[in-house]
Amino acid sequence: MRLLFRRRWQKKFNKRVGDSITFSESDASWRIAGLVPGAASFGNYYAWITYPAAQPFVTVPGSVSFAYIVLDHPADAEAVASSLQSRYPHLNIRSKADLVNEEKHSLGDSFLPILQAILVIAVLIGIAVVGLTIYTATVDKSREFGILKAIGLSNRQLYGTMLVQSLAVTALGLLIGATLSFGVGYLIMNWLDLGFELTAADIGLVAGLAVVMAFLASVVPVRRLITIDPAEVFKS
Amino acid sequence: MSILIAENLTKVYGRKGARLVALDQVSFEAKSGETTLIMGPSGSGKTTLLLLLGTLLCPTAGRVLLDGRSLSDLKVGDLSSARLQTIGFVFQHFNLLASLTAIQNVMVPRLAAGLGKKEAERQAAVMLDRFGLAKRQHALPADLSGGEQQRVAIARALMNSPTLLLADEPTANLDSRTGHEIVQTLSRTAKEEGKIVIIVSHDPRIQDIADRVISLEDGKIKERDGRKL
Repeated sequence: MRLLFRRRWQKKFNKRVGDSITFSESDASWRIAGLVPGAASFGNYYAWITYPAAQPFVTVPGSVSFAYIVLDHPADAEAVASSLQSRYPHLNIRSKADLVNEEKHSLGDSFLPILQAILVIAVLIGIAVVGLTIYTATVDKSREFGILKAIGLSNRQLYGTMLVQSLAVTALGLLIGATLSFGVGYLIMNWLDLGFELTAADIGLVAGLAVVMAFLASVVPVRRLITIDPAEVFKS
Repeated sequence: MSILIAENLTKVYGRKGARLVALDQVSFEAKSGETTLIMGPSGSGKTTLLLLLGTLLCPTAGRVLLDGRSLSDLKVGDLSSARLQTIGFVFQHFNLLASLTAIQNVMVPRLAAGLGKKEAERQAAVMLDRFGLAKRQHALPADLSGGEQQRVAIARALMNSPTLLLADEPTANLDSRTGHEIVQTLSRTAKEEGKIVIIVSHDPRIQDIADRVISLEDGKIKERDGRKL
């Protein structure tokens, strides 16, 4: 019997293509037929093997969880699934696409709300951090803002300055965050052997969110800016 | 010829319980080319008058007219524009932006007025050269002497060619010789460029340079050009 071996496991188990491997549950010897980059999932794992080959690994001999039907004409999958379902109503007949979708939804239902909550908290923390940074800078520079107001800079011009500061801080945070994400992603892929994907669209989405954050973060500093009295700069 | 008219300017701080009349019906005129000195002891209302003339305070009563236009009746949104275009400030503590170089400080009003960076820089360099600061244009305020800082502040105040130049105790943080030079610079600017220069000070040595002297006491004009009222 042959199996595909994860590329990273070559070193871990000191095995190469063509080598044989045995499992404690079975006396059979398996030959490594090829290498695969590895797949990872936080959900269920499925391994499709022949019924006789699977027997040593199942807890209850003779039991079957899923039967994988390979069609001569894959395009007929939906029709075949429908036909089988009507003939065997007590079975759950699913196409490969259905199975993939179910797994996706299962993952989404269990992990997505948590991830979304973490994302909301992260955004709120981001707004607070950027806002506090700009607010502190505004308080520190109150006199300078007062001087600029006295000279004749309009509130709109000063808001613009503040927004640029806010965007600069946010852009810096985005740059650091994206760099860290790629770094952590690299570690996840190479050390934990898990899948990781960060696309340009993801970065774009976060950048858009960062711009919104920058605007929101400048709200409180702007309120502070409004209260700065230019007449104060005449006092010592 | 520009004319500044302060018309019955009154400023009252606080309300019924604790009213403080900082300025009480002060009226005077100042013309372009003239330097007017406003003197008086602490608490006499000098700075309040300057703030009213500079549109940084709203009068309780009375108004400020510059070339016939009432600055006191401007909407809040128009005040900053009026200050930027027609009023230049020189402060007691110089009030240069510490993180900007001398030339960058001088560029600020021109940039705020919408001029491009290169042209603003060119004009600022010319202005600094005029005040003998060509070699100091890239110095930070902390590296400039008091006199140099005040000259940078005057250069900044003049960048948008304002009609009115208001100076609050411009000699207070300078030695007597430098202070004298600064006031002479202001007076010369008034004459050569036709500016209305108002200097608030309690330094009696400035009196000789000023064209008009107004003495305030308890918010009222006590003397005008040496004549008691």
